[in-house]
Amino acid sequence: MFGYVRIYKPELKIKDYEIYKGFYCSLCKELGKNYGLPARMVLNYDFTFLALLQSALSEDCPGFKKSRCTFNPTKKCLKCSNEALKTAAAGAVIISYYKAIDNIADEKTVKKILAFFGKVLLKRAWKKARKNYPEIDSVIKETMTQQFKLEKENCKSIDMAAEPTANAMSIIFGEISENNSDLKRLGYCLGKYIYTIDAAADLADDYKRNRYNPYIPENMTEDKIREIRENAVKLLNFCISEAINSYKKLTVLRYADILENVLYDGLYFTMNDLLFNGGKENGKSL
Amino acid sequence: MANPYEVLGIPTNATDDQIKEAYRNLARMYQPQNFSDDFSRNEASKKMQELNDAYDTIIQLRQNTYSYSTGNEYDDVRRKINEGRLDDALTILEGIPFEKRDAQWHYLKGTIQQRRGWFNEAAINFEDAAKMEPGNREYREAYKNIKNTQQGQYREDRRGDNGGCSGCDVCSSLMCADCCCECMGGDLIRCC
Repeated sequence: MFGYVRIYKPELKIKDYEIYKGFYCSLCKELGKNYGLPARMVLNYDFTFLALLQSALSEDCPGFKKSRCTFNPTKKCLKCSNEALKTAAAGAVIISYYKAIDNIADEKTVKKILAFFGKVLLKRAWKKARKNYPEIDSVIKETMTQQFKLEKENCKSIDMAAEPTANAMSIIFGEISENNSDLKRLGYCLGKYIYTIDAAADLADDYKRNRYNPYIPENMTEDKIREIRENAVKLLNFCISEAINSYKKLTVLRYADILENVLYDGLYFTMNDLLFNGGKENGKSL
Repeated sequence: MANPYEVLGIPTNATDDQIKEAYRNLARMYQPQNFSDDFSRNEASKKMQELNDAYDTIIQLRQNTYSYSTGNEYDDVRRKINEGRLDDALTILEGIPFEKRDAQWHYLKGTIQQRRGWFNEAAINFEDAAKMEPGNREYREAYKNIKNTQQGQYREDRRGDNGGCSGCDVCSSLMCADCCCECMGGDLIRCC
């Protein structure tokens, strides 16, 4: 439901799908265990990918155990716990906390109230995450500051506007790998992808509500939306291509099929679905 | 030091010939031999030195900007890119005045930006390079690669990556081998 770095289910082998779901469910459990019930709300695919990637590169293999979903006991799932999931959980909490603050400043009425509640609920979780992973906190805080500055200046260059997010992801990916430069570039490209697809997908909404969007030109009209999105696809394809090039240089010990499914298929289909299909496929849960 | 152009009394966009003429005229006026008393001769010498310095400075400045486009700066940029010193390479490029920014400038700027991750701007610069010098193969190839990437070439590359031998490969190879064998008088596969 949340997140842009997703699998493309139809092309995944069943065993790989079960493993992916295992990580997703394990992340949920990690969030609940370490950060409390409200933190489970911040579960998302992007951080599931991060956990999967870190586990794929690690010497230690996570041991999956059969378990059941906390919210839906009739659903079985696989669960595990490792360093990668702890890092991903902290990252998800921290980013969601800062996003809530951002929304309080930006949004109006209903969304503002929701954001306010989000912030209150997440504050304790954030403090704990920040204590355990101070580098991730400082990176994301800095990103938000830079992002805010760019929006105030009404930056119209997509490369420049995406830079804070791309840089943040690059640094986070570097944190999990002792600054491996290929992993950092992979992070950079994914960060840029996430920012760009978010901007392109929100284009219509932002235009209607007069919100900042780097893709909105001076002389914006409704019929330009499709044209702008088709232009965004060029940049998104570039991000994907460069992400793949960086990925190919990594020594991946396991889960290669899942990672490649995300990089080659997931990013591509998510892009087309969100930009040209109204997000119908992506609205469905795992 | 005073503005050399002002010393020679010419505008900054004067041609080389105009500069030479201005220098010659002033030099003729201030030749120390023209003056009888020592004081005037000293002053004239100082002025001659000033004129000579101004002339040398202008010639050197102009020679430097010419050498940008003859490739010395660009070789430096390429070297720095290969060493991964993107910021240094960019500084050199940004130092080149707007009028001298040719196709190679745009190509190198695009290369730096692609390395940095500014894919949108890189694509624009590669396109400019290819358009400014359509005959240049390097720029044309780069632009073609960009366009392929933007259209999702990576998905085709993955399909092609399946490598190895398919059944079709084995069968057609055997048939070819059999034909060659028969040409030489033998017979690899009796029934074909």
